[in-house]
Amino acid sequence: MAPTSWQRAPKSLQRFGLGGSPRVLRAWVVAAALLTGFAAAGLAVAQEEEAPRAAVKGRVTGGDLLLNPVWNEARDPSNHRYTFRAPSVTVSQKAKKLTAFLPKEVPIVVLGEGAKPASAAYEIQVSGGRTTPVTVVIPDGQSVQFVNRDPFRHTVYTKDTKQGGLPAQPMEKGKSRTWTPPGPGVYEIRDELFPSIRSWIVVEAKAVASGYPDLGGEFQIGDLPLGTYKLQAYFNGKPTGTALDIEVRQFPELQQLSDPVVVAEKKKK
Amino acid sequence: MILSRFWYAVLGAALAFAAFLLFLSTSVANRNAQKTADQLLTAASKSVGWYLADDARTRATTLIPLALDPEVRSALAKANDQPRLKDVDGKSRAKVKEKLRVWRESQPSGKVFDAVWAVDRYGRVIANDNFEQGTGSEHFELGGYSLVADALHGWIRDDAWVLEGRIYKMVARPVENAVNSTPVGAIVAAKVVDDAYAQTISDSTGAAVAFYANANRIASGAPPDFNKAALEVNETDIRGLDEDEYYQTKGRTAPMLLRRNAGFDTSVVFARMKGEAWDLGAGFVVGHRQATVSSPLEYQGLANDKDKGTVPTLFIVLAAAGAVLIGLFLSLVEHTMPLAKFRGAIKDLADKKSDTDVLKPSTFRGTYKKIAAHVNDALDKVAAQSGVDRGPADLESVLGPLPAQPQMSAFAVPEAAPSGDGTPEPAESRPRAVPKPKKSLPKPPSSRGGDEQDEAVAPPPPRRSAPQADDEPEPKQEERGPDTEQVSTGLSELIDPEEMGSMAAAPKPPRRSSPEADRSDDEKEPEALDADDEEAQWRKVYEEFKALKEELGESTRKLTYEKFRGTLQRNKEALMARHKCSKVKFRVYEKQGRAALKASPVK
Repeated sequence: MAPTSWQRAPKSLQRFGLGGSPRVLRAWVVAAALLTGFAAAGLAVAQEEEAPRAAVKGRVTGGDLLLNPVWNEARDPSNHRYTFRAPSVTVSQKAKKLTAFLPKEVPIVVLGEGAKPASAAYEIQVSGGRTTPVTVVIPDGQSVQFVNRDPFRHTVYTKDTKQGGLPAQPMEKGKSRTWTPPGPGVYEIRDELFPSIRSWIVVEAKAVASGYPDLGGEFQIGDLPLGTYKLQAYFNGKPTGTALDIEVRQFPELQQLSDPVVVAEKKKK
Repeated sequence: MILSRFWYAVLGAALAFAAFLLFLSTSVANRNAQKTADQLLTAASKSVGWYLADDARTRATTLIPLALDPEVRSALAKANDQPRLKDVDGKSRAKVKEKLRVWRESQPSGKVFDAVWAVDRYGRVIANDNFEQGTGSEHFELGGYSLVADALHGWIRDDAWVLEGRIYKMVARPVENAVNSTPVGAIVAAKVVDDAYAQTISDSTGAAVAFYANANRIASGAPPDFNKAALEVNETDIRGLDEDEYYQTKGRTAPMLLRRNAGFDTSVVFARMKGEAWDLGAGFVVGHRQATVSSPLEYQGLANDKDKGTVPTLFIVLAAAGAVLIGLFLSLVEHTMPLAKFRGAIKDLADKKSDTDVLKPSTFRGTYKKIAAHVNDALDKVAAQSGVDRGPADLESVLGPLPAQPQMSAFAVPEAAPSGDGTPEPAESRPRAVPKPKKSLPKPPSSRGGDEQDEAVAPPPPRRSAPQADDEPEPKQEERGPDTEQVSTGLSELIDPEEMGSMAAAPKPPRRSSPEADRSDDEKEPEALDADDEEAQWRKVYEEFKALKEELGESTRKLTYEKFRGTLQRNKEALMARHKCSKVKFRVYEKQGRAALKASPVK
């Protein structure tokens, strides 16, 4: 089929052997675009490598005041989750409180300017009657990937079935599902086959990075661009406690925060 | 036949009542059986629930040796120090795994777990036994389940999980490394709900039980006489539970019909299993096979030897035999015997050697009396058409053997009197054809000798016939009604019993049959006899009667005064009772060539 007039290269390009047929012209255009793209990417990487980065280290307080909603609902006899439930008399009363499991449920989120999604999907493990992590805070446009780590099927879905939500689909052992939340907001994740799975994905435009405390409440968030931020804890898909203003300086590379991140406070009587 | 018919009515009513009772008892039996089944089902369902709870407690207790094992405690405590599972000491993990295996295999039969896990504070599986599916995965854990979380927070409890269409009875308890501290981990054990487990429950509770998950029966156990297939549930059954409010809120349905089979129904109670299974639609169903009786005839098929032994067979047989005998007796008395009697009379009437030419309706009862009267009428009709006059008989033959108690029917006086409403008496009760005299009185059998032979050969008395009896027109039946009036008003008219009995059909006697003639005779008697001397009068009447019979050529061989007197006495009493009179006079006259008597009540 003969090419049309708008598909032919100009005569100036044909003079340098860049014209003739439309196919040849398209090849030259693609090559030029690729070269331009590589050049731009290389420039960006060079700029990022050049930008100083640092990590912060801190601790949270008030974690023992956060109660896991799933477990506390289950202990209510009216919910029929057991035939008997008896305390071990040798365990301390404090330990018997069904508090939040900090390493998976309470992210400490760095809120600031310049948040952008990562190229790779944020991985969420599905195993053991919950997801890991339970609450996730990600920037807008960030995709998440659910990975089934259990030896049996899971069927996760978003509770709110608004447009763009995650539909319920079987996910066999070792399989994964990738999903990009449609926009800022809170998305509660459920599993049709596991009532104990209840997770939250928070899409926050200012979420630069996040980290999770360990059992002792210590946390560390690395690779932060220099600047001022707010540290905000999240629990059950909602901000909790008091935000902490921080400034990330160039040195030292691991900066210890002097003030703790308060995730919960006792209510004053 | 009245009694027979009444007996039929009694039998019919008894049969209807028996059928009513049978159907009633069928309904009552079904209702009671349903009620009992409902109670049994509810109790059985609760029993299974209690068994599951008790079994969970017992199984949780068996975890104590593991939870207190020093090596397990130490290994879990060390694992908590390693944020990454792969950094946990492999040897200690292997030791824990061996501990779990030895412990699990040492459990008594019926209490063996299908899998057991040792979990650290992170919820990570440090070791397991008989559950290798998750082994090797860095991310496999159990910490998110409320059962494990509770154990990691110092609680002992149970749960029911549904994994891949199977129900797992779970128990967990904390592992403590120090008193009054936070547990270092937990021991979690699982028992798969399978047929063996269900059968154990059935053996312990006596209930037929099946477990269901994902709208399918996954395990069942039942007593030997219960077919487990009857507890098969399908998606429709489970979907129907969504609309059962009691099931949704309380976790147990009311007794309900699951399947209807020939001869029995399967009633069930669905119950939700406590635990995560509660929200996943898993539970158990307890069934009861209930025999139903749709008709009383099915009792026979349902009854066993013991049931049949309780039936009072002898009483029933005797009752049935008694009913049959009563029926036979009544049939014999009211049907066979009268029929035989009538047949004999007819046979005698038809016998050429017999001198009987009429039937005696008074000797029969009911229909046979009517038939006899009609037969006599027919004979009269035939005789009249043949020009033969069947004359009157003597008093005895007319009256027949009177009952001991006076009855006016003997003289047919009541028939002469119209009923209160003017309705004439039935014709059959007023014998139109006068029975012929008994063999002993008017006409001895031809086989007899002597006088009897003479009487047999003697010319018969003049018979009535319509043409011959027309010297005085015979009053019709309607015209004879006032006769009774005359008697009651004391007109002292002589009453011809034969006439009164035969009413209009009987022709008047050829001579001395007019009232004037009778009255003239009557006027002579009081002058000759003492009115109070009844005995003398009767003897005189007897002599006259006998003389007249001899005069007319009738046999008097068996005519005695005692018999004659007895007849008069009975008729006198009957007339006195009927007419409330003080006396009855009897007179002799000739009627159609034969001796006859007339009775006249005197006020």
